[in-house]
Amino acid sequence: MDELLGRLTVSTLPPAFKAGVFDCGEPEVDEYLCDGDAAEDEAAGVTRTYLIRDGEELVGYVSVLCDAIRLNRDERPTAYGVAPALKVGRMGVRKSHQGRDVGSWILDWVVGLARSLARQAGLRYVTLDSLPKESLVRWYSAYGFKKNIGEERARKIVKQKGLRHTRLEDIELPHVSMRFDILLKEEVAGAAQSTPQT
Amino acid sequence: MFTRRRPRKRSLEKGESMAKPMTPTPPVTGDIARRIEKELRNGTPNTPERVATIKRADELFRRSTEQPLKRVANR
Repeated sequence: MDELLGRLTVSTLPPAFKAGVFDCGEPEVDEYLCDGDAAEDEAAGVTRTYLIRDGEELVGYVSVLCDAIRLNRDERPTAYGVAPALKVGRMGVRKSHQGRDVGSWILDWVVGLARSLARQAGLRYVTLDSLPKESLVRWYSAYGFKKNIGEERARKIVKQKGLRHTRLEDIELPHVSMRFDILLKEEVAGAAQSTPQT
Repeated sequence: MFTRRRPRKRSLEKGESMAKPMTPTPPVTGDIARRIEKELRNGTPNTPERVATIKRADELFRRSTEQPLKRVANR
């Protein structure tokens, strides 16, 4: 393991925080921290932003908020209308620290946070909207995230847009909604009940 | 519950495109809704990678909370 990961710490966002310099390669993600938007959202209580530091150096951040995956009930009644989730609203790692597993470290921390919250309130997934970059979606998938787009919906898009010869996996959506189930199979009550008694 | 759709001052002044607001996850339908419902009821199959990730996450979060989250200087 990179020694850097052992040194990383998490801190809460100071009031009116504006990062002097933060460059992760995505202007939208950089500006959120540098323009004071993160601090505004924090003050309004709509997101919580955590700074990831190596000593005093800011190497990344993550903003989280409450979310839910709504299951469409039009087709037929479902046992669960909604799956509560913790959403990664923004996440970035400074360019100088990319490729050293800091992103995975942050995701681990968020999954740990979600599992901690799940002991106090219903919470089942970590969700995020990935930028529509194949490499990024692949990276989230490698971590364990699954895409929230059904083939059915993709087929509808193909039909509507007349993209008959397009493969479903080649359809580009604005952002790719993804989910990670935070519970192990044995932690799910239904699974435990269905386990044969010995 | 979610962040407001707020025009970004700088973007508007410069005529740049606005940043995507944070929005709730879009509703899911069809196959994917059925798959999630099944996951909710039965759990996601444990793979060695998934188990390792979740154990690592628990350990990392536990260690990070041993020292209370601190507020740091505004810089």
